[in-house]
Amino acid sequence: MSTISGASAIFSLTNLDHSSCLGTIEGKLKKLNGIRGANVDFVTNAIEVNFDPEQLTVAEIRDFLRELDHEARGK
Amino acid sequence: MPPPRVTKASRTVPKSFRIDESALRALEAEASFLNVSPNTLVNQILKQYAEFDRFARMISTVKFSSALFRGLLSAADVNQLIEVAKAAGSSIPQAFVTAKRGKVDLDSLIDHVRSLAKYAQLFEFSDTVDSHGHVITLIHDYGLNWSIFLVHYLTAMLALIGMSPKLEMSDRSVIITISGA
Repeated sequence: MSTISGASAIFSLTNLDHSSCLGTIEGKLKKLNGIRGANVDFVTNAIEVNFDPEQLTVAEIRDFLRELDHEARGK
Repeated sequence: MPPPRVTKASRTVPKSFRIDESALRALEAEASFLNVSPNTLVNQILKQYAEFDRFARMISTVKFSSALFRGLLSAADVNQLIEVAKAAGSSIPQAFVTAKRGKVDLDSLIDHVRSLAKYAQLFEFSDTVDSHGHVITLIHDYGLNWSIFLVHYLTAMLALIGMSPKLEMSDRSVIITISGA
């Protein structure tokens, strides 16, 4: 049986180009269970995330970011 | 097995520079547009240079649109693409990580792949680490030829340190399983 040590991911925020939203993504992401750290890079339009893969998957984080995108576009 | 690099704010220190006034105005306007402090924006610009651009310069890079990149890839002959990928994978990572980290090992090569995701936007990247090793997943929308290129680039790159990982691919992803690392 393997022991999970941790996971990290870098997502592109190319589609999340709403300037007023970029600053709040980090805060919203950090409230998800399993997120250990998140850092938005405004120069590269990327978000770097550390998470517990036993609580959260990459696909779930990507879906969460996509929901934020839909919310932002609906405003 | 060490966990993946933790994303946390590193220590900041005060430092004064004289900069071009027009550059300052552009930075302040961009920071206002992005709703961040000029300090945050300047720090991230400097980090891009410190962690990637100064090393990328050594291998003479160019920038063009993602649409053009996608078009070039789809037009490429697959056999020639594979040869280019093998040659690039056995030379570029070595030059890059030797300049940046001073040695070629698994950690520095994974950092190279991470940098390509973060600073060159060539794919999205994830790395899950457990007692068996790494599972690295790259997601992109550049089509099957880009996956084929990446598989051969990464195979040649990891051969530099005598590793033969398991690789799987689709038209949107490449999964690298590195056991016993």
